[in-house]
Amino acid sequence: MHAYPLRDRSIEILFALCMASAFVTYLFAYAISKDDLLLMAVQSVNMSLIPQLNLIFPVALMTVVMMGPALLPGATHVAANSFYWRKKRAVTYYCFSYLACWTVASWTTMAFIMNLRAFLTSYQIAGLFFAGASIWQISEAKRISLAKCHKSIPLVPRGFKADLSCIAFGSTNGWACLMSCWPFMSAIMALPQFLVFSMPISAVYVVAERRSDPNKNLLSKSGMIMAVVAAILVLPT
Amino acid sequence: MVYVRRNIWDFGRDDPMVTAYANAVRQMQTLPANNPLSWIYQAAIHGTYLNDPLSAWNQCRHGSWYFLSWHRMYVYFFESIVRKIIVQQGGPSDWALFYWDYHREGQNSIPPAFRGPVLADGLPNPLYVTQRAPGINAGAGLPAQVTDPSFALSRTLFTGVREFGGGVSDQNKRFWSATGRLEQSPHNDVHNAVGGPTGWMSDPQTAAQDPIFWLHHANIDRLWWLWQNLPGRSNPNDANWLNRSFPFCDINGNPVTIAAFQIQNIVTQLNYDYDTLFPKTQPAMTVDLTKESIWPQPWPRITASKAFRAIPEVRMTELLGATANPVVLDRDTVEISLRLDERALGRTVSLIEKDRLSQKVLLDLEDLSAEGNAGSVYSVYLNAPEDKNIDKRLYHIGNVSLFGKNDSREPAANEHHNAYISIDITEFLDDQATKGVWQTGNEIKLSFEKQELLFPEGYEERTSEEEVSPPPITIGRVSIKCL
Repeated sequence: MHAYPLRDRSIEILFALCMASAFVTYLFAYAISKDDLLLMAVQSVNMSLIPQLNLIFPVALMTVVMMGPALLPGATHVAANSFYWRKKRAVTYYCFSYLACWTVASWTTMAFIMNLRAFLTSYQIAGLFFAGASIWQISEAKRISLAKCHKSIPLVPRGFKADLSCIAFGSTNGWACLMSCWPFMSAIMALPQFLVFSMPISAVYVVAERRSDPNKNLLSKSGMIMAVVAAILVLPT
Repeated sequence: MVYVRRNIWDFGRDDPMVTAYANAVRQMQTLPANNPLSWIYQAAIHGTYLNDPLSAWNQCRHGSWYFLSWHRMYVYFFESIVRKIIVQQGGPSDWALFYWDYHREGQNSIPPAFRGPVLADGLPNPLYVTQRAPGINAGAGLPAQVTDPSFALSRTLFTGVREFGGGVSDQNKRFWSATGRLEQSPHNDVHNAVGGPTGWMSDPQTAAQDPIFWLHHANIDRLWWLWQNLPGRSNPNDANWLNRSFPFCDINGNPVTIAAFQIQNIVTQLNYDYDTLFPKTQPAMTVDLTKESIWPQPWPRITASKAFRAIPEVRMTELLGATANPVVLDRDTVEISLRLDERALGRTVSLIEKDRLSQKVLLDLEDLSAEGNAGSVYSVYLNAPEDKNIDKRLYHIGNVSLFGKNDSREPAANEHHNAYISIDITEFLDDQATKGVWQTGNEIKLSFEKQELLFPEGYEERTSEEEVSPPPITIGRVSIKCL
């Protein structure tokens, strides 16, 4: 009998460590300050149409926790389709460009939410975002965007073009996931509290959605739940 | 009573058994779409473009390890419904569905009963449809490369994209990209060859409307039963596969569900059998596990037991070489040469020598796509000499056809996999190395050749107006990997 090793799980382990580290960092900051890292950062800056630099760190942490599971299959795909001597570089390029899409989008969204607070209460803003997300969940555009999340592109095996193709795959995937999940994620970001606890729940939901059968009504059910959340947030005010 | 499915070519065009099938189909075609016993309803269970589809419609499973089990159930219930109608019409009570064994000599064209638009009694022939590839209704034959099931039958494992029955797939999704060898060849290839670029058979949403569909699938089911009865083969014992049930309609049109564990034995569980199991189709390659092979440098000397050992699919593969640009199949013949990466090959050889890697070599045709329905079949040849006079079938390792593969890009698709085909080429390389055909260990040549129908003598050439060129197939990347 040949003791061939089973599948190399190093990428999964690395991802789990990264996500756990990001979440622990977030929790640690929460425990020390008794407040949410991202919400603190939001409150500490002046209102501006230009995103504030000090939001980048908490936004990046949040992105790693929430979108890590969605990033994993693509990273595994890149590793399996790259020469062994450039696997690490290929996966790094892929992850970096994927997360960059999300970080920039989340950063901009937070700035937008900050500015909205001049006109609406935090609960109203979150309610509006959840209402928008609920409509998006049941739309055909959502289904199409979700389909694009599953698309891969051919990876060039070597050379500068190989790096470019990994970056292109990461940004293509990141953009597709952004189109699919951004309304929901921005609603989470708009929550006035409990953000830290919403992150792992969101991460689990992202995985469930990506693995779900669109005919099994997960999207419409989640859309209904988001509508209820929107009503709960808006009605008391 | 055990009903026996027989070869359609053993029956004359006007045989009572064939006429009974035609009459039943005609009656089903008159029923409204919402009647579970109607032709439209039964076809729509597989797939349909009709608006406001019923919940029982669009249920087929492709590119999946559920492909064989779902279609066995589907054909079984369809056959039961047809038999009931035949009996009601006063036909034979022992009627069973026919199969079309297209790989038998002289039987590679569509059976005569399905070709003519009019029956002997002057009525329209319900088994005839015009939506087929040009020439099919004139008796054009399918090439042997398209109909050959021998490679699929030679696979000893059921589960896996390179194995007989297909890879593990999500149980809720219609289209996945884990097509097994039998599903690809001959199943997908025959669908495309019969349907052509515009016919019903080459599109999963319309395929079951063609009456030949059911005979094609009876043959695929027969090949599965044949495989089940070969020594050393067994169906998955995974509970996810065995317990997966699917909804259908019984003979009264009532909803019924059935699980894979209930259809394992067609004779004892489903009361049907086939007239012949082992007529012409035998597994192609029988590997001598004690043999030692010498592959060209830098591959190490190996024993067959090491190279051909069943490897679990969960292992990560090692990439050895890949094309930098997509391969577009827009001509009759497209040839490429793949030079393997020296560093990757060196490490792979080292791992093989240390017994940390097997010597299984895989050919992956990745990111397959076409603009629209590419109702064409390309055969893939490995290291074939350029000599035009040689018998290329000796170098034939599989086919590329996209039946249902565009659908795998829908939301129900596989995680980060577009449509792809993966072929275990270890046996072929080993055979070629032994015969001295493959001499450069760090280079592999591939040629893709379009398969044309074999038109009968006297068949008039198609006019350019009638001919619809299928869109080219694009292979995003061709790669060689070691498992």
